[in-house]
Amino acid sequence: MDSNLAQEILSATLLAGTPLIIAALGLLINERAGVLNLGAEGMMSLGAVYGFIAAFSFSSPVHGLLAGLVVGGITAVGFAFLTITLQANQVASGLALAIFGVGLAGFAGKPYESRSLPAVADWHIPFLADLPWVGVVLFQQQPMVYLSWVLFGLVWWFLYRSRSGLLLRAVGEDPGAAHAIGRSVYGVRYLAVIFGGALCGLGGACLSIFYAPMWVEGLIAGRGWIALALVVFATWRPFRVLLGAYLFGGVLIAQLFLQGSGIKVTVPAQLLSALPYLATIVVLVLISRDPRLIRQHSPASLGRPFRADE
Amino acid sequence: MTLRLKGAAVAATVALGLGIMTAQAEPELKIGFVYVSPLGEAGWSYQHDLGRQALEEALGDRIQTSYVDNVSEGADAERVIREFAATGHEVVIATSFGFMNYVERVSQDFPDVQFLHATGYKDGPNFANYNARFYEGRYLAGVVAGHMSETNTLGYVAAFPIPEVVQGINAFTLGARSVNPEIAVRVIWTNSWYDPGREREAANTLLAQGADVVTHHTDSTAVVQAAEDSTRTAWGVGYHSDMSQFAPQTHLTATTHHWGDYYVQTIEAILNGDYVPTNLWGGHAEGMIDIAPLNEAVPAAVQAEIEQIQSAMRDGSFHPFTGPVVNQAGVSVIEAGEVMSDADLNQMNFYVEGVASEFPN
Amino acid sequence: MGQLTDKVALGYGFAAIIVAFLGRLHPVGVLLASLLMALLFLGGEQVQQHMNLPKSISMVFQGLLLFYLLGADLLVNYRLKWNG
Repeated sequence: MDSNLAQEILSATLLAGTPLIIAALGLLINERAGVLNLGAEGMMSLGAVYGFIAAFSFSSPVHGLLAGLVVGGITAVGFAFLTITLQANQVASGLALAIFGVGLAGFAGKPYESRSLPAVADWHIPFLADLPWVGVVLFQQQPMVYLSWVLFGLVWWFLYRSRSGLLLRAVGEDPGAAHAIGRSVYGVRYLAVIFGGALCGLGGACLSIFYAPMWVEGLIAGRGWIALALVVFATWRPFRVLLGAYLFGGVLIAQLFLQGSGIKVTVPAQLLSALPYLATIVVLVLISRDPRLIRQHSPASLGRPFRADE
Repeated sequence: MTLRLKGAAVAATVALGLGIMTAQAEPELKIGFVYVSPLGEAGWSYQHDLGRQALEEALGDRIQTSYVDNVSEGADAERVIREFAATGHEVVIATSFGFMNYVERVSQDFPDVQFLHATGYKDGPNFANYNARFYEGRYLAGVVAGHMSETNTLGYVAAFPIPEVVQGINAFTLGARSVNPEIAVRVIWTNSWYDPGREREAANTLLAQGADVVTHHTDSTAVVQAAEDSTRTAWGVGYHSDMSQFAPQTHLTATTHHWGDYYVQTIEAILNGDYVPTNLWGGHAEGMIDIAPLNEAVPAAVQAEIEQIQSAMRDGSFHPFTGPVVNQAGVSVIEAGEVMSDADLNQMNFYVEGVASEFPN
Repeated sequence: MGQLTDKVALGYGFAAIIVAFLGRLHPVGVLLASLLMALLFLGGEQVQQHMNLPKSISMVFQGLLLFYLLGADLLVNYRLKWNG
């Protein structure tokens, strides 16, 4: 294969996977604390639309990203109140949030439909960008890719190397025990949900500010659900989330290139479109096929509300 | 208890809303439009809505129009269509292929309501079919693209391989190759009428593989915007609407849909009482298809050529699918001097020579 | 429906999950809840048709109604006691 073509494909893969990674990392923290937020699609949509509006109005992508972060966080506060304080069913609440979020985003974005933002230039990391071949793919990328790597590092460090991360995981596994030693389960979960929502909003904003870069109703097109599925198939481990997102993006981009290359392919186009989903599921299931691993890693209290007085 | 109260409250609010609506003065004719996608600022449904607005402008107080957008092709569609028919709308206009069977069913239950269905192939006593010869515009777009391309590769982002889309791809290819026989067209299928992220990815993929003009048969402006934002030399050709406001530098032209005249003529006929449901497949001659103003970068000679072909289309002396036309395998599909029939056009299941991608099965 | 399109049951899967939880996983509850959801969706369409509002607005109302409904569950299950 032409070396240039391979670079193009890998580069595009990184871009395609990034919004998914950011949202999925947020959902991972969310779920590790034991709260299932199915409203990812809604939060990403809201982050995308308000992020776009902010970036457009202030002519600054950074304002847009911040707006996405804040809007996602605010939405998540509402969700947290509903599911943690009012102890409403998490699944139904999440679905309601998905409907609400997508609808509100569509409505709020109407005056901005199909406007576009100036494209953001790639960042060249000094020294590393000059590495042969790898340099172009990894170190001359859009800023949002580097953002996703930084976030990955932070989340990984937080979960596995910090005391607060340990507490978070404990709350997710056995909130009763955490409560018994005097920790505020509600508090930890609130923070986790807000963080999760903020990252979903950020992921959505990356989509509308860097990737598309435009806003139209329905821009998110199911990526929130993909992010949710990614977290599960990655058995709630950050590195596997990264892997899964790039795998998904990679197969997606590869099948587009295949179609566009004119190479005779006897596989129907619909099957090619389904390939990214299939490939991601198959690979991730294979690497976690040990049922003990799955039990070990799925947060034990996921989806169950915690009542402090029980 | 809570559930039932909530249900009653919702029902009461809806009833109140309906009551307010019907308390207004009665126009002669009420017309309901059903759109398959969100209206947005450009695209398939937007152009139909422009037609609806033209209708309101032309016929003013005599009619009242309303619309529902973003109606997915499923049970919801039947409900919406039936709802319009059942609430005193004398004309229901359903603007997507997938509404066809529902229109057929509802039209049988409401014989006094006139139904117009865009694209599709069924009709009935109170159910007319209308469509536009998009391929005429595609041919012209192909001519422009053929002149402007320097890599001799054109990219096409398409949704689903239905005959109408294939007609567009083939007409575009024929038009381009009529001015530059070296042109190759590559097609990527997105399997969705509307997924801007996916469309942009596909456009960028085509550009990365050497195409320098991209066009699309999908519903958003993502493809022309991808061409605008690309760091490579790239031109974009829009579809449905003039998309130059989204891609001011690189928008070459667009195949534009114009439904206003058809709607006004049909509704006027209904108002005058001399309407007979007739199917119409109109092109330039009926004012349903046109192309957007050409980019300034396009040479004046090309502009003149386009105008010539357009007037030939208008008076019926030129048909884009005139033989000799050869398919990808080199087999002749239209003999020299012959014109492809409408029936054959609607069954089109091959690529013409010059399309570099494999035909999907 | 008489036709197998590629979007046969779009959105109904999601609605079904909501119905299951609203009905508290009890058959009678699910029946009532499904009627309510149907009412919400139909009401949304009515609003679209008769007031020319876009679908996104009806989605907002549906989401809000569901939020309040789910939140009210707490009041159904527990009694508020004011601590002196």
